Amino acid sequence: MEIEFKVNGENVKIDVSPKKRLLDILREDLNLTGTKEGCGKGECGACTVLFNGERVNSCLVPALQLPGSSVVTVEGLRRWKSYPAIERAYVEHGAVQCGFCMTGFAMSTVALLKEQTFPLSREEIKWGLGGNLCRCTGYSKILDAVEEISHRDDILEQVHEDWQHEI
Amino acid sequence: MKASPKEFRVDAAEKLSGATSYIRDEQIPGLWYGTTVRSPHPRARIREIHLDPHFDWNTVTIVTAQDIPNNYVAMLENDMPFLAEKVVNYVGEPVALIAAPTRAEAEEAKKHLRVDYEPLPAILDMLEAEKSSIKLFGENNLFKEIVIEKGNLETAREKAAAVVELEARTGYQEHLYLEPQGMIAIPEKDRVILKGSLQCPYYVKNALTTMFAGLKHITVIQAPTGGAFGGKEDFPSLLAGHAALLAVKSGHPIAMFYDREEDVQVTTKRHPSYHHDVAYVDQEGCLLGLDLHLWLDGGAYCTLSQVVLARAALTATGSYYVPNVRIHAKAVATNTVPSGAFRGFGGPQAVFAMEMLMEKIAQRLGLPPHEVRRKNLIKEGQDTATEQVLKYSVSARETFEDVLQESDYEQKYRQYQEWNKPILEKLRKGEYPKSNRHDRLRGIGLAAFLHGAGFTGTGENKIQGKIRVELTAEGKPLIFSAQTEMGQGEQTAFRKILSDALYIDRDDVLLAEVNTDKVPDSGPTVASRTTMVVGSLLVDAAEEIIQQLSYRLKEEQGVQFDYRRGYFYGGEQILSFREVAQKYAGLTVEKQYHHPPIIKFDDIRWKGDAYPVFSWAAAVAEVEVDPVTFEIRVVRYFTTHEIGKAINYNQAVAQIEGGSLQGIGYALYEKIKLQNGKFDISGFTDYIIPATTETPEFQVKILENPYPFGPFGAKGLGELPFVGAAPAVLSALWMIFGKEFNHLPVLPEDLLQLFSKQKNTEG
Amino acid sequence: MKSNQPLNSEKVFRPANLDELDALAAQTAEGVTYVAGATDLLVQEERWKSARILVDLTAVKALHATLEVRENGVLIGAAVPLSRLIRHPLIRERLPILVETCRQIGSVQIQNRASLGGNIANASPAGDTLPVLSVLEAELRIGPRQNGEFEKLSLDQVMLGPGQTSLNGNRYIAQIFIPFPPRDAFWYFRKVGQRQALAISKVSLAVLGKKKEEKIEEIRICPGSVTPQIVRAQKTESLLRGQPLTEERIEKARAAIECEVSPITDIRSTTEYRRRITGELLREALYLWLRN
Repeated sequence: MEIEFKVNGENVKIDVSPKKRLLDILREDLNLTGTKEGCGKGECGACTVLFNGERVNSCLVPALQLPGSSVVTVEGLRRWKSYPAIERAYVEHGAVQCGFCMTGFAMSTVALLKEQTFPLSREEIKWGLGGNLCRCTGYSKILDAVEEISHRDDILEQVHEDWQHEI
Repeated sequence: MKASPKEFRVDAAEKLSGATSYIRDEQIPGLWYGTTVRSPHPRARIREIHLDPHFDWNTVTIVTAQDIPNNYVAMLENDMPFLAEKVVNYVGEPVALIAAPTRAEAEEAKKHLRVDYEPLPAILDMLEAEKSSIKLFGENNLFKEIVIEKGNLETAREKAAAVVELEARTGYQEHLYLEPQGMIAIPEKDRVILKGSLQCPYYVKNALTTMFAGLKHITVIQAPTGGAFGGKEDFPSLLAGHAALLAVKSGHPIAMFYDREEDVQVTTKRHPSYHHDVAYVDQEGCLLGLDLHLWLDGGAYCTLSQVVLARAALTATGSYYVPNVRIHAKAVATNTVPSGAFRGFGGPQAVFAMEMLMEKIAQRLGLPPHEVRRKNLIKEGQDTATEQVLKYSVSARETFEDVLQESDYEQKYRQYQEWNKPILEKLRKGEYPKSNRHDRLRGIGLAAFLHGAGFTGTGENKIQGKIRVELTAEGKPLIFSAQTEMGQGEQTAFRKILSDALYIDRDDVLLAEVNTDKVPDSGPTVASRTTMVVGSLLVDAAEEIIQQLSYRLKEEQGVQFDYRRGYFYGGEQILSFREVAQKYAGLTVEKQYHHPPIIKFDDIRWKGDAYPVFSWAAAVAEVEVDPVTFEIRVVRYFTTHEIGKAINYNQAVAQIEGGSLQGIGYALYEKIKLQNGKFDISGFTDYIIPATTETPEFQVKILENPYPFGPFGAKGLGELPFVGAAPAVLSALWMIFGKEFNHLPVLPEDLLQLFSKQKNTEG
Repeated sequence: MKSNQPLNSEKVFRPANLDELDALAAQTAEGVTYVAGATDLLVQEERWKSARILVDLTAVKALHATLEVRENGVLIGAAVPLSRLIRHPLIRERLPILVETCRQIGSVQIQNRASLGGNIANASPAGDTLPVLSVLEAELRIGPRQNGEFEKLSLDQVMLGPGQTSLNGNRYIAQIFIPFPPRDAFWYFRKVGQRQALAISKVSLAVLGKKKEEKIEEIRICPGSVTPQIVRAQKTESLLRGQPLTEERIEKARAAIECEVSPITDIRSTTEYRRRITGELLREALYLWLRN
């Protein structure tokens, strides 16, 4: 089926099976390989993207629901004005190891910052990132990074502003 | 705590932004997809492979055992075929391979290939293997048997005030790296290029060179690897073989990309273990003797079971000094998925049993568990079960005392016991146990543990790892080594070690792509050896680079040059490293590892220096149990590690946290059972690893106690944190319930059952 | 001729409104597959692969966007993502039990897609919202409409057993009306999973109750994951209804509910654990109420 939708702010038009997963469309048809597949069952969060402004597992979104939608992947996110601050926190806290889950965490982080009221408690951050599994880090440094960002009003404002422009 | 900029990982930003290209992100024109036809039986004879005549087989490529020049994966025993020929020995064993231009076509073709089997009786219980009439390996299904003896157990038996016996079991564990196994093979005329997610490029190269009987040149390139933990040590050799066979036969580049379900069903797991241990102790809990028996389930083929067993046996007495010891260890063959390498490599099973034995001794003698451990911790000058005298860098006591203090263990132990009393009392009477909504049972547990750094015994001498450093035209040293980055921070550590040794900026050190055509064999990235063993070669290389550059400067200018903190000083001149390196661009230094000559091991009699040195740690876990549902949570986790010297403190802490959480998973969540020889898990849905909500608050401390032969004194780290986490968590359960916990994992269902029994016997 | 290509003949419909949806449901002879958040559908490989006529319910505003707060309750489109319920201030205020159960489903990524209608239609005994919908006496509005009216059914008339519903012949869940419990009602929901986030429940329990003059005027109890069909524990309820809430009564209720459930042993838990913990959860709920 022919599908027109928006990916990272640009209109795309593709012809794919209606059952094709958004994850595969991104990776195979659009060459956006920053989105990873860890399980294909909506459990690990490695394929998290923003779909109409909400974070979802792209392995569970079928093509047939894409027409007219707006998708943001990590390739789009890394152009956001707020992204460098998020990157800095992850790098400075040493939150990255093998990295395979990391783009999913980046997407969830920016979504969490948008969804919640601030600053976030440690417990809220844990629940907010509960849909992203990591096997390397023990999560502690990821939580530290996000906790720091959630205390920074300037970053939060920028996230909200980006949200208006980029979704 | 934030890292200092010098400790920031060199690969972090690219990974976070999605710029890092893992094997599935490669764009390779004309790539075909391979799939594997597997045995549904734990053991069966293959009668016939039947191809549906109505299917057009011209569009796909099929490979069976007949297509393979040497049909065995070159490893320790060469007993595992790439594809089963006459008999299959485990559920999921590969029988045939199919490749097609798309995944869907390959899967479709698979439906039209039928294998006729004659099911045969199978061995599914490791304790039955040795006596079974079914022969899977040798005469008695033992991949290896190890006996280690020291002193005389008779003496211990005579003097003992108490004899404490323990049976213990540990279960399977799946690595569950976030990136499933993936490999691409690209065929050329006389060569096959393998690129994939892997730990040990030279293992793959050797296995494939053997498979093709030397008829193909094999080039192995490591792609960025999304987690491994040992799971990409031995298995990729098999996977690469499959990809290469299909590639050569079809003439197309082939991708073997497992989805999660296939990955958890057929790849290696941590060896399940069974232990039967006897301790002879005096009144105070001092160990007089240990009689330890341990079995590891190796699965259908040997893979690395022999060396896993060796490490288990050599770690069996834990962090303790014991005058009289007998260790009898066996790795057995069963009709199950081959067990393989997994962080800790036999050590976790051994330390678990030893630590539970400590709990039982304490319970039997009515002593606090930390006191019993404290009395027995090994010190410098004492010897291990192999009579290895520990001469340097020994910190069993220091780490133990430190973690007790950091965690306030003794006081909390008393406080929590008091706190638990009324709750337990109500539970025993069958009353509603909570006074307040958030009442929980509180436990505090501890473990002392160690990890022998580097290969066991004479392993390093066999490997004799080599590295090379070249100076580029820009005057930057470029490191060539076969060590791989899989998340543990090798790239960052290597650049830091060499830059620190040369007093130059970390960004001025480069790393060559891990490609077997370019890098020398520095050995596999396993056994916590990368920093300690290969890192020491980098320091040696740095020294030689300075020497050679100074020498050349002198030759040219006739003045003696001295190197201090990044600059060459000679006559009136001060030259930066960069300037001089540019001048002598192309200078190449090679270094090969030789075990320090004072380290000697007899691996026939199991005597001597089993490891060049040990890394030491102790941990305290604070655990809460909901008395209504028996849900168990680790809420705080304290650990003190002594790893010689932390090359990158922040990342060492990160390794410790990650390893500890894996160990917590092993203790409380990760369970696999066999159903007719088949694993009962399919992925993240039913194999439960800790999420953010299960991670405790960590308090990690690293002590220094330099190892004279490591880079800047560093020893191995990667595996150590895993080893003690599960026993520390279970120790807390002993503390809460005063009952024996002797198996992993422990689930709420087990606690409930324990309570039903308790209610019946005492209520 | 030999052909290795699998047939590719899916039809997709994205009806823009209820009329189109009803027409489609009525006129399509073959069974259609309704797609809402797809969080269950896409992981049921065989079912998903064999689906030939796909109808996207998220295209229909009445299903995907309806969130009407009325005086006595709230009307929720069957395909409304759970996260909208979680964030809705009035639902948070009046239906905290529903918010709590939604919050514990999967992860935020799942909550952003999953819906009440999907949870019901999937008909899993472990479906997290089902015990809560049951105690809230939610009214399910089933299409296609007959004479302009949805059929109104209760949860146990729709969810019949594991994977089984009464929604044959292209019937679909359109909306769910949830009456507000009294403001002073007691509520309890607890889910026990293998871990906290991303967990499928081993046992869960929803309780809704109201006291009048120290006696239990109304009590609704529904356990999850311990019965093939999600049904209220009526015997246990009747043991409590009209009675004063005492410790003795609580113990009786606990014993009663353990007999009333019929759990199984599977990869997630055991019969014994599920049975016992159902009783323990009920006891916890009632003690919380007693001491409140």
